[in-house]
Amino acid sequence: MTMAASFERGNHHLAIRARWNWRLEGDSLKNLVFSIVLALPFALLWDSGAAFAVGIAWAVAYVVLAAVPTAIYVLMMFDAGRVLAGKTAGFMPVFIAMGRRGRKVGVASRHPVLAALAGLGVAGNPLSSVTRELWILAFRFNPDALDEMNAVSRRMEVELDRTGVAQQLIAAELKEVPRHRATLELVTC
Amino acid sequence: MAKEGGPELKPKTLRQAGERVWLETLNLLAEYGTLVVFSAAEILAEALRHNVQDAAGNTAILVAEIVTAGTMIVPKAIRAISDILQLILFAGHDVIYAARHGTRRPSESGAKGRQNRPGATT
Repeated sequence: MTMAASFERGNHHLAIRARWNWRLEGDSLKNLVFSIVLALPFALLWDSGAAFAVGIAWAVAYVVLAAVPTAIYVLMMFDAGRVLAGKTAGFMPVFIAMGRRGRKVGVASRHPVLAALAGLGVAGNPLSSVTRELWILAFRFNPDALDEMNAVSRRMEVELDRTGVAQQLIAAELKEVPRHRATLELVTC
Repeated sequence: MAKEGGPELKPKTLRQAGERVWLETLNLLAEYGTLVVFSAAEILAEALRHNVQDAAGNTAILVAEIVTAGTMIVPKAIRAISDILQLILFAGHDVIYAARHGTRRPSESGAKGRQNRPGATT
């Protein structure tokens, strides 16, 4: 291989990597902005009177909004730890399969406001970026896990399709999972 | 540009070398630039917080600091640690290979290269 051809090949790979790195940076910044916007009203709890009441109401709303995405992110982080230790992922293939089915078949009768709130709960969850970085770390040290997880999720997807369970169980949050997985795949290449 | 005894560097190769420097810089900025910027912002915010007398305002800055640490600094620190670990493992792998075989470990890219990474199960 000539020096020019070698440079061209390397540069092409670097350009792809740079593009995806900056895209991930964009996601992290979006996560930061949404998380701060959602968390700032907590400061009202240190005020008094009506402001304190608003702070309490916000705290309750925040718990409702963040409960499901937080549970999913915690399970995803647990799985990243398992993959890093060379074990098989337990929850991720299920999430990917359900998310993929959800994208294909759609979720019946989703209220636009509730859907937007669910999206905000995912985008504004402070665990989002940490979870992604843990998965990048896990895939770097266990590269085979990606193909294995993909194969298991494909089989599960077929099974979900056959039983028709997907339409009933898919949460809006899970629809975000396959998108994040695709990004991870490109950054760890 | 021809160096005596060395390969001749054509303008196209030089341009590509320049492009590589630029792309490597972009990657470095994306991976570590934000870590530096947000760590500096965190230090500034902490200094500012001690001058704010209002309790709610003080807490608002603290909340922003915690969220920034959780969404930008800790994830980037994990990436940095991951890079360092990978570097140490690869270098260690190279040293062990050289000690065992007496030659340099062949560099491989693509699927075969991934199989040979430390930690790969196949």
